[in-house]
Amino acid sequence: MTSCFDGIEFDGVSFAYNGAPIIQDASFRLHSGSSYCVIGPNGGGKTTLVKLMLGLLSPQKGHINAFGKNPSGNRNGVAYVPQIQQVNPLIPITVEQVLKMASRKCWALMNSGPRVEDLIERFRLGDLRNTSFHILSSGQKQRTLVARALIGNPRLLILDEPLAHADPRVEKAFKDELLRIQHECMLLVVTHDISFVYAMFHEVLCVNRTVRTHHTHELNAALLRELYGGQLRWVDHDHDTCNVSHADKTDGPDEEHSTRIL
Amino acid sequence: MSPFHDWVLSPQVAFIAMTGVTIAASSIPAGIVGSWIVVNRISYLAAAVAHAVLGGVGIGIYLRHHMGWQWVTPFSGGLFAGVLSAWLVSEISHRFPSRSDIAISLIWTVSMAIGMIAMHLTPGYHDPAAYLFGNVLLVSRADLWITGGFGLVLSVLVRWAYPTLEMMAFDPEFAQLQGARVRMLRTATLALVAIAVVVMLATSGILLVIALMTLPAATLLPHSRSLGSLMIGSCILTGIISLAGFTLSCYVDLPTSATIVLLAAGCYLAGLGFKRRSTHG
Repeated sequence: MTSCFDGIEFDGVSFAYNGAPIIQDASFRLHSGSSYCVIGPNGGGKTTLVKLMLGLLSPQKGHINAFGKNPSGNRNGVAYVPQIQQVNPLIPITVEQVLKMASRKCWALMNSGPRVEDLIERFRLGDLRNTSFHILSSGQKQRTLVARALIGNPRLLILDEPLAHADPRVEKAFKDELLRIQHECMLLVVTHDISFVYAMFHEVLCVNRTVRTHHTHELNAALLRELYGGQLRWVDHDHDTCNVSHADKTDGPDEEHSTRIL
Repeated sequence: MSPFHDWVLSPQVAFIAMTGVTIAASSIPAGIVGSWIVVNRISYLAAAVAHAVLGGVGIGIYLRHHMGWQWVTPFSGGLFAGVLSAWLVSEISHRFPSRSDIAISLIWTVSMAIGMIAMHLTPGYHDPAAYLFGNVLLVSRADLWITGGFGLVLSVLVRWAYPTLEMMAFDPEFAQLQGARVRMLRTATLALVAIAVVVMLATSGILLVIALMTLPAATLLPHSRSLGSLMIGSCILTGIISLAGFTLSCYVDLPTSATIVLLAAGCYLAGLGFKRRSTHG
């Protein structure tokens, strides 16, 4: 079943691994031109949800439409940036080879040389093009993988924990880049960093077997506690450049320091 | 005719030349398949598939003698068992990743046990050690053609599929999103390991094939800039190690396969030492 909805649509989708339910009866719509983030506890189904959107997994119940098509037949419309540690650290490969691998497989992108050069310049990879991917810093690796994902001009870009290994300087530069990408395509980011959610997104998908969508301003300590479980501490950080808040999971007593969203 | 011409045309020189060319030809499949195995960290899976070939060889010998099926040979039996085990190993490691080591060990050991029992139950002299260690001194012209032909076909196949293979080795999920049939290709590459083992069985034996597939590629891995250069470099290093081992074993009268394995291991350890020195200045 397909619809003409211009975005991602889940209709009663369920998925289980070996009988254990991971996603249950998920129904929501993600609109083209918007940006979303996915939050939820480890093992709550975030990665499974992303793999369903990408067409790497098929739903056992319900239907998914990605820009009016089945996700498995929509390969070049949806691009994915994995966590850095998910790529094979043994294969010898340079930055330029990583970027060109995206264009060599797809006939539609055979003349993508100028696009590759544009992205090399935009992501400041010119001096690194002949450098081994594996000796790059985390920030440089992340930039390379995002540039690779953008080569096919995707309609939806999905990033999995893009700030997991970033220091504050890299984090700031990367957020600026994501703000630019928001103008080019639909963005969906999986993250544990709640401050990131407030800074960049209007809508949040809370995933813990069920999937609920909320506007960012609806997020509060009670909602996060419900999502992550009881062991949750709310901490405010007052940085020099911006005020942020984040939720921090601890083993300590359930304690609420602040629910004010700055 | 001069003494030099007599020497060149002598049977000894012809034998040494054919053995040398066969060794050089077998370095092509060993280098290409070995680079893939090392980069993807599947040497355990490859070793299981390689040893499963022995089960097929034993069954082939048994059926040929007891059932009178002349079309079944140790070669075809090994090929069938190798490809079947490649499919099984690939499916198990995909479906049950957390417990796949037990199942793969089971395939490895049970196949070997079946092969040894089948050879024991067949009248005549059938030594499993001949298939484990091979005998490079018994190569025939047919072995040379089969090894060379397989090396050529494999080179063309890898050249054709290189972009997909590189993408799959670096990031399988990205490759799948680009339309690559990753699961099928994973099974196909393991099947190629099995075919390479069977092709090199007579000359190298299972243990030498595993050593030649893993050690030269592992030696060159830290010094390579691409998967392609690793494959080409591994083919050349495998050829050099094999020919040097063959020559050395002839001079000092040692088993050829064991000499080649020790040389390959020595190269790998020397490479580790070189890497450590260059890292620590």
